[in-house]
Amino acid sequence: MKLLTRTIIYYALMSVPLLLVAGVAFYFIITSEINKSMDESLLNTKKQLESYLRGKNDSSSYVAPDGDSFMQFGNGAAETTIHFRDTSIFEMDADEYLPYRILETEVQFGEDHYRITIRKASIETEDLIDGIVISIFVVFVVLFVGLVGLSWWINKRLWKPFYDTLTYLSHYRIGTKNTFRFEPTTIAEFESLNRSLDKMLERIDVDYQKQKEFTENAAHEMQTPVAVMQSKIDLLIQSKNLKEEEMQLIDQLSTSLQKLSHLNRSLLLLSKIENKQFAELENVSISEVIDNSLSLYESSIASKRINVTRNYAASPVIFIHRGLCEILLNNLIQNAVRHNVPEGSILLSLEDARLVIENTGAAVENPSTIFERFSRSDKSINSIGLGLAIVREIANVSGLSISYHFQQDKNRFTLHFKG
Amino acid sequence: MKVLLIEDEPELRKGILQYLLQENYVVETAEDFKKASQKTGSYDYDCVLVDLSLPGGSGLDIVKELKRQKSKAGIIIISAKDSLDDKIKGLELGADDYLPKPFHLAELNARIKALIRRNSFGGDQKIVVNEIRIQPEDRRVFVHDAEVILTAKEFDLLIYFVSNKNRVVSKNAIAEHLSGDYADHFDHLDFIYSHIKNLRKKLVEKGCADYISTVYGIGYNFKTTS
Repeated sequence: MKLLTRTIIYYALMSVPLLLVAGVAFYFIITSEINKSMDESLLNTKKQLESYLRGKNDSSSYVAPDGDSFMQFGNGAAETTIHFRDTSIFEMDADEYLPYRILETEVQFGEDHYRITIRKASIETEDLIDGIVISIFVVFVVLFVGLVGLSWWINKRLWKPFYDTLTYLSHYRIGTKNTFRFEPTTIAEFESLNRSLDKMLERIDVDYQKQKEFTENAAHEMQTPVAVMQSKIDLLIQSKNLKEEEMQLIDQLSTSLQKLSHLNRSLLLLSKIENKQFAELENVSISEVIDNSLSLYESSIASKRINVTRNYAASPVIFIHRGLCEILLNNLIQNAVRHNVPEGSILLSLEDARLVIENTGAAVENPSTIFERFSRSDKSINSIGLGLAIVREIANVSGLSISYHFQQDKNRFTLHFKG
Repeated sequence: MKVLLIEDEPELRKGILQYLLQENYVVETAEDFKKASQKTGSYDYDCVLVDLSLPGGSGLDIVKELKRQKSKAGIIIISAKDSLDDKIKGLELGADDYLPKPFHLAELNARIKALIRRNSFGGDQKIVVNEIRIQPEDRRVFVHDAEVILTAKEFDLLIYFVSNKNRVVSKNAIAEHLSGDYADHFDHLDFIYSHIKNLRKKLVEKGCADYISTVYGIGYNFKTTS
């Protein structure tokens, strides 16, 4: 949920009960104010009445000049207290009960006691509540629109550096040359956030660079001693006096050294691909590379009696580093051969935008990590577990994408040529 | 046949030297850039093996210098850098071959022989070993003047064996030789046996002596002397 939405929801949740309380309070204050002023008006009428009674006293009822107040006289006790009360009186004209405010008192003129009742039509409570609800609603709407507008504006202005930072972070890719600097802001918190992020990213970049260089340098430095060992083994096997057990030992030594050397070369290749050291691109015909690659594995294919079907619906030419393209397809085909079953099949379908390589074979235990380094399904097979990692890395730097699926007893790798 | 070996790692230099001396080459060595350029400036060689990262300079400059002198020497770059760009640059500068470290000495030897064969004047590139005659330019093989039809892999194998005749060549070296530059050669290990069996059969059928012997556990030896 966006910051703005969340803010508005909080505002709305708080203003509803607040405005309700305010509405109720408003109602009571208004009614009491109205009653007060009505009572004053009634008292006023009473005063006028008294002065009138001092003049004439033959009528038993009086209609005040305002036409609203109505007075009745009657004999009562000699009390001088004044009572106010509310009542409803049925009005024939309106055909309903209407609210009235009534003043009752007794006055004495000489010997005579008068009971005076003055009534005045008061505003209907319903009307009042309606009025209040409407005004509260109007206030609410105005307030809400105002708050949304204000939040939007504040959001735009105040949080701009924050959103800038967020956009930058979402575009940040480790290992790429980042020339971006956070825009300076006058808000202390954001400035300090940016400074901390800047330091952190710089550290990450430096560490990452060091890590990459380390892999490359380590692999590189190992090549020379491996080369020395290799040459010494080659010389050792020329010896005439080797016994059978010694030869076996040398063979095991040699095979392990070979694996080490291969592992090393693959690691070196991987870090070179990562470091984008293959810049010379050219137009490469995919079908040509596939054909060459298949010929490299013809012995394995023949010995496993694998049936290879080439289905070229198109002959795409892509702009890529030739060497990398060869390695990519070699590795995919090698994988399809190596993890195949005897008398299995390989189907290569080449279209304009993709290449699908399908081979019979068991499902991979962990399809999600199939392109990870050293994720081998079967350790006994002569594999160092870097082939598919190299495939993915080459695809990444060459603007291709590779995916893996297992369906109907077939391992299926799809290479998309456009992203 | 004069060969100059420019390599700064002493043990590797010794190993290569020892292997090449058995070929009856005259091998000189240089361990840094200065000595190397002195030697290439003063003497003529048939083949120069040059490491790229040398103390005091780059092997690429030696390649450049040799080409500037219009030297007839064949040049093989041996490098631990194993970078495609270096390979391309080296070959563009005029090097004839590029061999990434680590390599098998048999492989280096085969490449030197192929290079010298290509560079030898007269265009007579035939390789003759007793009753076997190989014509590398059109990839044909004759035994007692009768042609033997070999597959591409068998032909490569034969050339490789003949280049390293009377030496033990390991299975790994053969597998690496038969697989491509970056292809994983472990898959080929299992097929060497059948390739070699077929090659032997085809040669023997034409009346060729069975020169290829198995060296238990390790590899093979193409023996022309007993």
